[in-house]
Amino acid sequence: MEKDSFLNVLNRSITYIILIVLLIFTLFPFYIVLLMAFKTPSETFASFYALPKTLYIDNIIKAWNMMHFTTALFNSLFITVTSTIVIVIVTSLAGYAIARKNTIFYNILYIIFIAGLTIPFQVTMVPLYKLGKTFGLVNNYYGIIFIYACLAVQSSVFLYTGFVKTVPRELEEAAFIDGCSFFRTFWQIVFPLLKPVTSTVIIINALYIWNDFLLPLIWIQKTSMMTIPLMQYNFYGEYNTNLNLAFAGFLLALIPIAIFYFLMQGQIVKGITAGAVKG
Amino acid sequence: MNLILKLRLKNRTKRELWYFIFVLPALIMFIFAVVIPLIQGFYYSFTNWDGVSRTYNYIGMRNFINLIHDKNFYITLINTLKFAILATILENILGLLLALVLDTSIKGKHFFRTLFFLPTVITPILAGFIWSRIYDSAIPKLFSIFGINDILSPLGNAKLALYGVVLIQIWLGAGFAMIIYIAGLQGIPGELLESSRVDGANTLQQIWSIKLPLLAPAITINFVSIAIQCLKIFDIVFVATSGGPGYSTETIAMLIYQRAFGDNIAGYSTAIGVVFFFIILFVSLIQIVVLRKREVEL
Repeated sequence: MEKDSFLNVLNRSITYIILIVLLIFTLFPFYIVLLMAFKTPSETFASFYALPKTLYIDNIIKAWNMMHFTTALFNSLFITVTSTIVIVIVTSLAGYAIARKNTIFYNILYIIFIAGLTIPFQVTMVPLYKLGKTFGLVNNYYGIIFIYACLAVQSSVFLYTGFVKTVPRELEEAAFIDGCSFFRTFWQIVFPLLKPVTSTVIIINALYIWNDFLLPLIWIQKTSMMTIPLMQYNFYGEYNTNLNLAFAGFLLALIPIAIFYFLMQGQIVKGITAGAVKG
Repeated sequence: MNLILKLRLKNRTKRELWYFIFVLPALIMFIFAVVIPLIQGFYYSFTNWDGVSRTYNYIGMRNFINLIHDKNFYITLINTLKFAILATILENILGLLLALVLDTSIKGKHFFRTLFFLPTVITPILAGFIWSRIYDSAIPKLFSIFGINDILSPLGNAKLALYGVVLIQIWLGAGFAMIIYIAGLQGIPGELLESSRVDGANTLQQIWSIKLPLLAPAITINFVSIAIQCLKIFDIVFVATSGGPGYSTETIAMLIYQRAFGDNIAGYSTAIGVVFFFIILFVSLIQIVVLRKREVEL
């Protein structure tokens, strides 16, 4: 339909040029991380941008130990996975109840939840910390998992409510008539139908919790409990002078996210779009 | 007959109970971690609580009065606003550009989209660390290859540091804006574009007269969410510059943290928090009103 006129070729070329430039801008930091992580300091000093002669993995091993990476990885995984599971359970139940019970009480609840989304964390973080200390939630796994779940209620209930409203009631009604208990009806019939929004909720929350820094910063002081971001921050000073070591540390922290991203990237894009558009 | 009605009622009340039980955990958690701290925050802002001791005194509006006279607060306020405005606009431009480029007939769209979105899922503090090291090592080396020596990291210069941080934020967030714009562009009917081609429109005209107007909802979403996120910015600034040099990159979020956990004047910190809350609310409302109007007209 379009002839390959000069204008078209020009168009195409400009498009490709823009694309390549932006790609370089986007990937440049990752390239540097990989480049630096595998070089020795003397190689770097000799020539910054030259490719490493061999894959020098000493930096990575040293960084791993300095960052207590095994511990950090476990903590991040444990906290993220557990929090996400709790969030899915608590918010799907609440979202379902609010969507099905269209009375004033539940509608007001819904509005209050949404209003909570406008509150920045900084406003509540100091009293929350005090509250946490009072109840012994600070510096322990269950405390921080509990807090993450609490903070996620607003956005995730909103997502579930919206979705449940689009699910026809007939299936639940049929189950009730057949004598199925309320609780079982939800878990065995309704919940499986909620897979799309559940995946959105999982992805949004998992990404947020894994990458979160502020809450762990004020909540966790024990090294044995630190998540990857917090560990990175605390031990950053120790390899400040050795550039290669520093970048090796960054590489370690990047790998889990990169793996998760490349495996799930279709879902992630869908999830984030859905979450943002609904908001 | 009576028995059936009784059973129906029993079932109905049982159901009511279940609905309530379902909503209870979320409600309790929400009240515990959001409502109570919020109310406490408002309360503490009228006291001189230092964050640790059990005793504190009611000091009325003193925190807020001090806030009005606090030079540092105004500096951070301006920093935060400058950062938010620059970062929001530039992120959106970059995101839009990426989306438009990927909306053409080039091959490998999916591949490029995946790569462009990658920075968005990276931990913000990691991005801050990586970029700050790149600023003081890779970039100067890059310039010296081209013969330009003595280039220093912008983060060490009080005048440039803020822009250096803005760049990190753009790198981090453009992918998010891009995704939303791509979704918006995919909603534009192909016939519209084809018929405009037949009518002789070139690519730029198409973008300006068709794509942009129809992207108005996506623009609203992007501007509002990115602006809110940028106003609250903490992670990347905290690790890249710690608010320095001087106070040139200190943001409100950092000030709140510093006053509470560094200077131990939690009452004052919550007062800043309260003001911060209203600032965000105000900015968001204005944006929504202005941008929504554009949507309706088109």
